[in-house]
Amino acid sequence: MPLSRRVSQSAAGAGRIPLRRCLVFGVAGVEYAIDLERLTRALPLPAHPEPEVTVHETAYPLLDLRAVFGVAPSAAARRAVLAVRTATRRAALIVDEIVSLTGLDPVNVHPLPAVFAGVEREWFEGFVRSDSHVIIVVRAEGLLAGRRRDSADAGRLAAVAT
Amino acid sequence: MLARRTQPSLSHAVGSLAVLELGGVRFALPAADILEIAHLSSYTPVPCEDPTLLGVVLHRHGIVPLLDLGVALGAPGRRAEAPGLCVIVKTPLGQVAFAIDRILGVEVAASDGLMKTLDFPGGLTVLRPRRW
Repeated sequence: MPLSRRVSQSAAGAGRIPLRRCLVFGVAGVEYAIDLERLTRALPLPAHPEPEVTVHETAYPLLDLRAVFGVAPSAAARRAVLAVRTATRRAALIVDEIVSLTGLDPVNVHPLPAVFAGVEREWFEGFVRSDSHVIIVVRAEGLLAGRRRDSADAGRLAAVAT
Repeated sequence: MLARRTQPSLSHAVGSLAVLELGGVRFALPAADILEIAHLSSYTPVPCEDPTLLGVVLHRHGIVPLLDLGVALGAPGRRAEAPGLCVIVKTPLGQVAFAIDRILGVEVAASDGLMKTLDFPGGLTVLRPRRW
C-alpha cells in the first residue's frame, strides 16, 4: 500500500478536519514531512550547485539539512533540493531523497515531547506514526530561521561544497 | 531501674528498586517508576541538541523519547539500529525509554545506602547503591 494511503487511512472519509498535504523527504535514513503549501519547487540537486537556486526569478539560498542537523555529509549521488518559503523566509533545502506526497491527519500528529527542549523545538512540530516507523513533521518557519545544531555556517558551507 | 536501651537508628526505606546494568555499570531505579521493560526492535533518530537524546521509539500506541544513559553513567552507550532491551519509565516530563543490557534483580533499599547520581532529561533520576 502506498505510504500516502497508509498515513491518511484514519482520516479517509472522516470529512471533519482537512488533511495536511505534505511532502515526505529523507535525510540520513529518517523521514520528514513538510507542508506542501510551503514548497515552491522540488528538483534534483544540480551537479555543480551554486550557493543558491533561482525559482521563478527568486533566489533561494542553499541550506543542507545534513549540516543543519549535524549529520555526516553523504556521498549519495542523487540528492534533491526543496525550494521552500514561509511568510518571512525562503531557502533551498538539500535533502537526500524525496519519498512521497501524503496527507496527514492533524489529529495523528503527536506534539514534540517536553524532553526535546533545544533547537529541535524550532525545527520540529511533532511526530506521526506510519505503520512501523515514525515521520518527523517539520516546522518550516523554524527550520528556515537558520539555527543549526553545530557551527553557524555549517549548513551553507556544506551546501556550497556538495 | 533498667537503663533504657537505645535503638540504632533505622534507615528510611525507599521502596523496591529495579537493579539494572548497562555497559558493566550497575544502577537502580524506583520500581514504581517503571512502566515496562521490553525488547524494542528499532528507533527513529531525531536531530537535537542534547546528546543523551537519541530519538524516539514506538511503544504500544505512543511515541516515546529514547535516551542514551551510557555516557552519563560512564558506560558505553548503544547507538545501534536496534535499541534491544529497553526500560520505559515515567518522569516529570512524560515517558522516556532507554536501553539496558540486563535486569539484575529487584530489592528494597534504604535511603542511606543510596547515592543519587545524575539527573537526565525529563527529570529521570538514577540511583546507585553505595555498596556496589
